Amino acid sequence: MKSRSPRLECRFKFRGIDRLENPTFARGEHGAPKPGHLNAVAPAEISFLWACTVNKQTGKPEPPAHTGQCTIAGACNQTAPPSHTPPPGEDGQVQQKQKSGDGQPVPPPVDNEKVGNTTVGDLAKVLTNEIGSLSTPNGGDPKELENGDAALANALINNAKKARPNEVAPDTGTASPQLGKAMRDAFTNRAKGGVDPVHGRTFYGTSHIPPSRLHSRPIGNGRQTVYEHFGPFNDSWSGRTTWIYIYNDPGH
Amino acid sequence: MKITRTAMKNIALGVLLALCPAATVRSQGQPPKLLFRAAQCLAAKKFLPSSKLPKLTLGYVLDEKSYPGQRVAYVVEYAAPARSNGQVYAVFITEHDGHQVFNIQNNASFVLSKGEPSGVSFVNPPLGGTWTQQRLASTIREIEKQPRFTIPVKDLSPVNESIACEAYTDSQRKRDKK
Repeated sequence: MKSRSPRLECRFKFRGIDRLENPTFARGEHGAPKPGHLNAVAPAEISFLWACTVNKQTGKPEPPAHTGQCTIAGACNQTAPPSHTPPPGEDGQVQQKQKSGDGQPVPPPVDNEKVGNTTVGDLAKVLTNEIGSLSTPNGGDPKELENGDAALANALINNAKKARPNEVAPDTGTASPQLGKAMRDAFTNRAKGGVDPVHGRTFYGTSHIPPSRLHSRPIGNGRQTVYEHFGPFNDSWSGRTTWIYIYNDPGH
Repeated sequence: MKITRTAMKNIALGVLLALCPAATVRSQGQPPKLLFRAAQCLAAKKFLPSSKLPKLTLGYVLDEKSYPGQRVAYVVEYAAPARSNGQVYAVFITEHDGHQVFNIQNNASFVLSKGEPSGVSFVNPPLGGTWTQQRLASTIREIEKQPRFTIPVKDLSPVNESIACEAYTDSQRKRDKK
């Protein structure tokens, strides 16, 4: 199960404006997108048309069957798309359809915000490389993965702000919609003075070792203790049940 | 001149016997300078598990592709010369003020496991998520195919003056100061 990979193609078009923007869906309570909830940063008064559809039999996107009108801040007058889980692209990641004049996807403006020597958009790619293979198991609570996403997004932000950041996965590839949103939400929340859920911590990992058996990991001069864990999740890479761990700084 | 089958076998056996000591020498010969210096830093930062073994059995690869613009030495310390389990370390190498800086950024203990899709099971997990663990697992398998080197523990100190050792376990204050 790859809940992070695309099954929808959504087309957004500003009314009377040629420029295309790149809003993404927010996961709703049960993992479905919230109708009309868009996290693009743009003037609230701009209204636009959006259309999403998917062939339920083939799972492939189709030309829009319906269009609705909505504002970025307000509610749309159309129903929610049937699923938030799009079909995998060639690289198993999101294929955004919003393109600039040269055919390149247009990132949301917040993606260009600086965090240390990197940007929100690049951190979203790191986040995707690190935990993009995780998904909620059958019967699991999608909120748990959202919390894990948020914790790791904040840990990456904290790390990027350090004078000497720890090495993390490279910012290659494309950010998934969910993890792109998680990173943007974390950044926006912190910029507004919101609480950092990991309280400044920067070290994280994933492991198939359950929390009942993983309380710390050995490091050079002692052990690094676990601060918090999230899971269990399915991991499409290892095929094993996996947890996200946030570690305390060494020596704490 | 007709060469008999027995003579052919004897020649082949002779060639094999001549090559075997060479292979042994290669696996136990002088370690590359980079590996030796990385091992010195691992010892200086107390990453090497306390062992009564007088010699370390090490393997390594230098990766200049995974992290764009960066050089990473992945070092494996095997639990014993003939074992396939041990410790893996990611050591980032930079040049600074004429010094070679060895920065230990990750460590984990592993065992090769056919039951794992990656072929590697992390007994003590590394830092990082899927990408990092994929990279470590594939590197461990790659190092497994490379020659092993033995280094006497007593040779690891003092650390060569031309290198500097850093680690993620250093306090942030100390790291910022450097």
